[in-house]
Amino acid sequence: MQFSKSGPPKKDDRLGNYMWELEHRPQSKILPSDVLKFSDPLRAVLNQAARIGRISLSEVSKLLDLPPEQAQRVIDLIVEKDFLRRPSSLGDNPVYETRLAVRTRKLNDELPKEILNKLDDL
Amino acid sequence: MSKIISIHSFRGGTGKSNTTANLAALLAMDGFRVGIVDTDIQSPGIHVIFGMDDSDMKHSLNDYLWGKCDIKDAAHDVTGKLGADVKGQLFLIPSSIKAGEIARILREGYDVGLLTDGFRDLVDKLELDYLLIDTHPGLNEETLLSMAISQALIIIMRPDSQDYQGTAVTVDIARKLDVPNMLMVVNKTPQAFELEDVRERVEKSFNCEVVSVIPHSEEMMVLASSELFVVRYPDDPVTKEFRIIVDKIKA
Ligand SMILES: Nc1ncnc2c1ncn2[C@@H]1O[C@H](COP(=O)(O)OP(=O)(O)OP(=O)(O)O)[C@@H](O)[C@H]1O
Ligand SMILES: [Mg+2]
Repeated sequence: MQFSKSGPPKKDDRLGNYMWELEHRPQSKILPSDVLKFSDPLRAVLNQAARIGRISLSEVSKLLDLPPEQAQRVIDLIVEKDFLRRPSSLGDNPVYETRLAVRTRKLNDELPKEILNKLDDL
Repeated sequence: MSKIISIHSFRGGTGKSNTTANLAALLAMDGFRVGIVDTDIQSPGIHVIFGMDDSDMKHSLNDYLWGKCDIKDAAHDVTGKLGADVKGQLFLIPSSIKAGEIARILREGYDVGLLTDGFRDLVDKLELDYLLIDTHPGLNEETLLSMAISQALIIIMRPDSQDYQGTAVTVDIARKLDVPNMLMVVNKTPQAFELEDVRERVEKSFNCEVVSVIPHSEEMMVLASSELFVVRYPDDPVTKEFRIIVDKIKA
């Protein structure tokens, strides 16, 4: 789904807003630091998934106040962004596990290259 | 349910590692199964408090992150190193102190997600009641990640103007990450300060409860991270403060 061309959706379009926010994250993958930029309740969904390690369709549906079909579309997009893992079997209320396995961005206080090279020689 | 607890400070040298080690020791002495992970990969140090050096490390957190071993294999049972009567058990997962290995991880980065998987794995495989995460000061992807998966976050600051500013950022982020339990600790409070005044000022600044105001301790300075303070000085006021924090953790 692409919202970028048409601009942000109307305020009362909850699903549209969630999808728009997820589409417009700067990185293709969602990292822990990206979670901070999301607005509530989308952030609450990502936080709960990260802390507990998994989240179910019904939980997402409740947190986002969306019917399950629409919550599913949000989940699918989060899966695409590599934050949740699709379960092997989809029942009535599938449970998605978090997947934070992505390479870090550069550490904040990275040492200059020359120092790293010197350390290598030790 | 076991609890993952991160110990963090915005600035360095606030006493994270010593606090982590002592809280973990008290919990183990109380009969719990406790793990400590040194996620300060860039400047590891907590192993020193348990009298470990490079030659004692079969495997480190780095080996796990490079897929060289299971995280459980990097867990060292340090219960016997406490020098006290311990009813529970204490494990340390140290970070490598080999210069080349630190350099490699800084240069190449690593899969942060592996940390989360690893923490959960550890809790399961070692049947831990508590997993304490000692972090690098400041904010980066791994400190955010450890906050994001923790049931409790201990934020340590000194009563110093620079700490006040930086800690405000940390508190803000912890709130955005919905950390269920935020425990604010003020450490290294000069004797000249009135402890209650400090508590009040910090609580007002961050609008959250201060669990403990720990005085600056000459004895702690002299120990110089070579031993566990709570074992050496069981009746010291600093140990009493550590006990208060432990009670909060257990609550
Ligand atoms: N209450 C205290 N009174 C006096 N000295 C203290 C106190 N708490 C910690 N220290 C001392 O402060 C120094 C730094 O402590 P520690 O290494 O635990 O801090 P840290 O926050 O882990 O540092 P880093 O940010 O570098 O990881 C140590 O020498 C320790 O003994
Ligand atoms: Mg430290």
